[in-house]
Amino acid sequence: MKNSFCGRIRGTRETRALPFFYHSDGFIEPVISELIEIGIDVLNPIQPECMNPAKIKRLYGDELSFFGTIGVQTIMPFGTPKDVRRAVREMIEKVGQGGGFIIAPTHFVPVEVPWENVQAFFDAVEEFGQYHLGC
Amino acid sequence: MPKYIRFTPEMKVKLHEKIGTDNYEDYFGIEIRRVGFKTTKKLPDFSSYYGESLPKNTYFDD
Repeated sequence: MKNSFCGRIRGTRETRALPFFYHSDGFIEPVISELIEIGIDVLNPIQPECMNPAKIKRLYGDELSFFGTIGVQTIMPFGTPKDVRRAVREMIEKVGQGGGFIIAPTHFVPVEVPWENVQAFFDAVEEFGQYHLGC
Repeated sequence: MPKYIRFTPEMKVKLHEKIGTDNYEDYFGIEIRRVGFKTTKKLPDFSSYYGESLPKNTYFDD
């Protein structure tokens, strides 16, 4: 599979300068370095239920951008709006540091998620989602 | 910071009741839109991955 992906990415890059986005749920930490090796640019969704997004950022933040990190199995359905706000702030501070981060729930938001938590997600991104690039 | 969200079909119904539109991307100011390929008209057949001893007209599409 690695060779197949690598060939497709290299082939595409010969004609188009596109970033490559890779989606895989679950614990994929052992293969992240190989995903970088074959040319993946953006990793999604970095589920906080089974991986530590801050650690992944620390280890691979120079080579990857990240997309996701707000859990749809925990914080979004079962947290309070304050919990959502706290999680968004934490992820922005830890994963957003230096750039390369698109914050998002880790998958489709199901109907079990309270509306207040959806609103809290957007309010918190608005409140804390400013990049501090140290310029 | 760019943000993104997707909803299940059932949640989209609830969302419409809350915000009065299906265009939640514009409503929430989401910076990202998805594009994709149209569904192929030729159905895939993965039978070859299951060996040659399959009954006649067996078909795998997933």
